[in-house]
Amino acid sequence: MSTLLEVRNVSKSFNLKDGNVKACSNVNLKIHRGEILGLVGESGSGKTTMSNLILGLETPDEGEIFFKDQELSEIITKDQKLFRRGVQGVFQQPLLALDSLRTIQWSMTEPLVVHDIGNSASRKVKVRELLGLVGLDETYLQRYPNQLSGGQLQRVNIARALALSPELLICDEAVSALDVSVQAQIINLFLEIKSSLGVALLFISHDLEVVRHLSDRIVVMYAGSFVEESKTDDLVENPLHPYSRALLSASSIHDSTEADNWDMSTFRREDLPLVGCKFAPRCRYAEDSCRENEPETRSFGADRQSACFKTEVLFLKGNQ
Amino acid sequence: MKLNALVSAKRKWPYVLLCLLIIVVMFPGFFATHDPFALDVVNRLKPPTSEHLFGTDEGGRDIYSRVIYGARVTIGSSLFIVALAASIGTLIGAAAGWFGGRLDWYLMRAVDVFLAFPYFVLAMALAASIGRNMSSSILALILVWWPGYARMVRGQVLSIKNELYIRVSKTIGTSSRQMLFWHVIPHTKGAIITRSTLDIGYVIIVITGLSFLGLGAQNPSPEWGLLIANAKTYVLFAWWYSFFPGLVLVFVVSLFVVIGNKLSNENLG
Amino acid sequence: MNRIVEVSSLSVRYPGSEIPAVSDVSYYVEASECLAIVGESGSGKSTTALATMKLLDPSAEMIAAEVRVGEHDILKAKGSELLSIRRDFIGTVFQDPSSNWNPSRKIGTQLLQPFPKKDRSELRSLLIENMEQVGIDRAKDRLSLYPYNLSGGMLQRAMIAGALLGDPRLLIADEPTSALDVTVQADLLRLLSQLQRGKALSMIIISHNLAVVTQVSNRVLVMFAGTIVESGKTSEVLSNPRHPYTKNLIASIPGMEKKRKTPLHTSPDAKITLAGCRYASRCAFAQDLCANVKPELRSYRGSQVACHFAEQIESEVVNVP
Repeated sequence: MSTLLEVRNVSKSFNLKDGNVKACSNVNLKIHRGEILGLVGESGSGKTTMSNLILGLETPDEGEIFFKDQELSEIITKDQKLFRRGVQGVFQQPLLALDSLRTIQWSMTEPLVVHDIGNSASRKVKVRELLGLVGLDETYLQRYPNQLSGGQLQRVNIARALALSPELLICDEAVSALDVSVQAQIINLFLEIKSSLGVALLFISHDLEVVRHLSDRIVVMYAGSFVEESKTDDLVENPLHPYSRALLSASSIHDSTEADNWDMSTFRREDLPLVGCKFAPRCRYAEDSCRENEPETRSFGADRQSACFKTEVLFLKGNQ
Repeated sequence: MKLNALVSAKRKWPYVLLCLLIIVVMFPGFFATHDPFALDVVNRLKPPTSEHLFGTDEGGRDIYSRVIYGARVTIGSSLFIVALAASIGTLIGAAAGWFGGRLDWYLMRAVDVFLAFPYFVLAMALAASIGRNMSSSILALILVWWPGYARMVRGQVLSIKNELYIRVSKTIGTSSRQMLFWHVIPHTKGAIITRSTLDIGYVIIVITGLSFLGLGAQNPSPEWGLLIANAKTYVLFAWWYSFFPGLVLVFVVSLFVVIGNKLSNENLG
Repeated sequence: MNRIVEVSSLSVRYPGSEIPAVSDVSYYVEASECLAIVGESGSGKSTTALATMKLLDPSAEMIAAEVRVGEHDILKAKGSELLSIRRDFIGTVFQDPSSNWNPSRKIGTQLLQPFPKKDRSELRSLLIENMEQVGIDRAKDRLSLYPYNLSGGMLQRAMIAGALLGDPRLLIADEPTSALDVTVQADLLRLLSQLQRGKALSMIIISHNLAVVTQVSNRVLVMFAGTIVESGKTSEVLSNPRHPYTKNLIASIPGMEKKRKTPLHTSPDAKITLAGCRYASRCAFAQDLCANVKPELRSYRGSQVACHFAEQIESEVVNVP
């Protein structure tokens, strides 16, 4: 399996009104060709920043990002368009992602025109093909974004993202703004795209259930830091980090008996500790050592990593 | 049903009048009764009659026909001024807003300088220094008016910049120039059109004002400000001379302001 | 038992729309119970609930045989009576905290604004109490904060605290968790559930996600295209859905199927027809009868179902294409 994208020790901070915020610190992850990697975290976990960094919309303060073994900033200065053809994005708000003054056809043709692909006639053909890929017919071409439903709009966005035949698709909360029934259709669509086109996906969401349905592997982030990485089934059966455990119990549906009353509602940036493990204030297993030192990422087998001091003690020995 | 039709007809009357006005500007010959330059000194300063609807001036010329032809000069030049000021201002404002940084800073300081002066004072100063004729006034007014558009468009661009579809275009690889012309400027059109319409009214006031002061149109042009300036001398014994051009001027300016207000309400609502 | 809400034959139409938003819907809410109304966007679920206080778009046409909330006849109520019902008798929590607050006013000011000036200082201390009850610490300080200072979850809690100010007997929560992270959702739902039981409130909770409402509701109405397709006790409907739409809905929620199967793919754009069963054009089991005759809600094995062929679908006698 070759590595399509690698994020190495990336950190990024922003200067906001109330001070400097470290959106991401020391994040590491790899995406392989044709796989779906899920990235899970709450708002403020740094997942959106990650998506901006990987899409080349921001540059990391520390660390590097490699696409097909080439460093991102190099590719962008040398041949930005080449990079754009490799990595595309689908975002959370289906309606806002389209220019309201342009028809669907115009918006879908834009990438082809910008990259000088084909001519007027062949572009029309290609756009129809793309619509077909996502299950829409040509009656949609002359419509405007405000005439389509959320699900239809997201399909258009996906079709547009596929126009340049990218190898990696970054899906940033791509289904979170949709009704559950529509979510199912889009999730199915992503799975189809992966299997028929071989496109790799980075699927970012706060909803573990959705991510679990799609992903081969899952990375969990908390407050800008890497927390756990596991194969999907491993994560669900036996999560290695207390935060992953908390997420699972919050997402779990048939779960009214579970006494996992994790305090999940009052997550404020100001409450993050300056030293020690960031999750410690909310962690039921936290000890003094957790509050003093920041845990390192350690491996626990193939594709299993976790940043917690107590992984062996709590989880690997089958302790509940 | 009938009441509804009446009410919506009532709402459309400014636009109907505007169309009428534009037809007059384009085809003055159709509406005028006499040659606006034809002198007939025998019949000078005669009050309104059925032959001379607005009376005659000191040269015996038919005031009504001069007002009709004057519409072309006054309104025509105002439209030209606003169109150019809006175009220049939009390009400059969009560039400043989009690229930011040094370019933005310098451009906006230039805008600040212009906007520090009241429109009329600046217009007078520029017109007087460039030359005492219509073309100089037009140039002066374009210089006075573009900064307002630049600032407005810059503000719009600053907020449009953060919209999701702009971010998406970036990920597609669209260049800045393409984005400005395809995605950004089209979204400012509404504000520009509203402002332009209101501005035409104000520009008319200023240009007639300049002509009134002797800085703009020169005799024998039938420009409205000039007409009123000439009428000044005779106001005591030829009331019609300043009255009718003045009335028409007030009416036309009000019309543009009313339409501008309607457009701005529609844009906000 | 006492019914707090009684709605009979409610229909709502928006001008320019062929299909009515709500067609001949009847439902009730018992005292101290929580009713969930579930459906996709456009199913009419919000309209059905908000009709209880006539909180519809002014262009909407609403007709009903009866709309009763408490002792009030909503159909006749207007002016100050209606305002007082909306403020005191019914408490409302809306979706999407980011758009339901005025960003330029402090939180305390906004929550107290519907009440007459003379009552506000007294209500202020009640508001602080309420906010603490819903889990907002340092409530007194937070009153003078602006919406952008708080997270989505906090804003929703504040809205709940505000909704409780008038000491309502009915709480309506319209998609209260849809714009929030799942972790915050679970917490907020727990809170709503606690409040409802603690204060013996009646509650209507509206959502597009059946899974979300299972934790809080006693009964559920499943709506599609303006009609109720199934209703019954939440636990029953969830474990034994009888209507094809309900079955699909459950199957499309990731996680409801414990095995990792692909969710059921519903036909996205099949046009909804006025005649017959609204679901017919999307239904895998549709027969000729379905396209012509509208099924009425009838009792079937413990729930109410609006389907001609519920029995046959159950026993899989009907041919599936």
